[in-house]
Amino acid sequence: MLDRLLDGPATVSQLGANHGISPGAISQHLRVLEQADMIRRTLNGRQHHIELDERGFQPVLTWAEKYGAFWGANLESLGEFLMREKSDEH
Amino acid sequence: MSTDAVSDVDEVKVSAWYAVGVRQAFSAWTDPGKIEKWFGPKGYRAEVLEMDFRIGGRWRFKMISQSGDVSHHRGRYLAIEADKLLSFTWESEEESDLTGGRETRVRVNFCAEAGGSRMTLVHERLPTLQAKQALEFGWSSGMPKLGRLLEGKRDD
Repeated sequence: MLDRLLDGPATVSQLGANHGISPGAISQHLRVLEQADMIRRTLNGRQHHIELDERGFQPVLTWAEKYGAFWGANLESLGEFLMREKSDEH
Repeated sequence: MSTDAVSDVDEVKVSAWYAVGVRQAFSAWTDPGKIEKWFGPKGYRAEVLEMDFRIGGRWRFKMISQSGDVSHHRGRYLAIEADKLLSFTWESEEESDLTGGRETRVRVNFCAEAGGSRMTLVHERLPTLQAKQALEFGWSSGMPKLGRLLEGKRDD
């Protein structure tokens, strides 16, 4: 469903198509995503338009970027330390 | 590294091979004197403020950057298997927004490989429970695409 939304906003019925999921299950999924600020919903008459909401994803991406860089640099520091330690032994 | 980091949304995984035995690689994590000599990215130095190295024991490190920025990190040891595995919780005190007040978890595996040792580190658990719940609903391959989408929005 999120994959579909990456291609742009969709209506609830478009999101349900090709999934074989009941409308009830779809709306449950949408509620969870909405609570997490991962989608936002706009009403156009009776139709609900759903689109991705970057607010929910940003902390996750920031987290992954930051700790990825942090541990990558840490492993390099460790490598340098281990080599120094090894040459001290000899 | 950051490309690896976004491929699995709820974890960061890094791996490296070192030309030393697993015992030596493992002891770099278990001896406070050694930790202070390497822990942290280049240009940082670390101080071990607390380290009760046993399962359930607490640790707390201080990290100081070259420009003098100080950060504190702490957690508990969850699993210790000599020369094989180390697992601990991780909370960054100054960046509670990143760990979301939750204890994230770091797992480090050591194994002998090609005359040296391979160390694989996984830092896992999403910063927010809501984010994790939401993503459990069938997120499959969209992360790089999402990254580009958000980059685009940042430029706006």
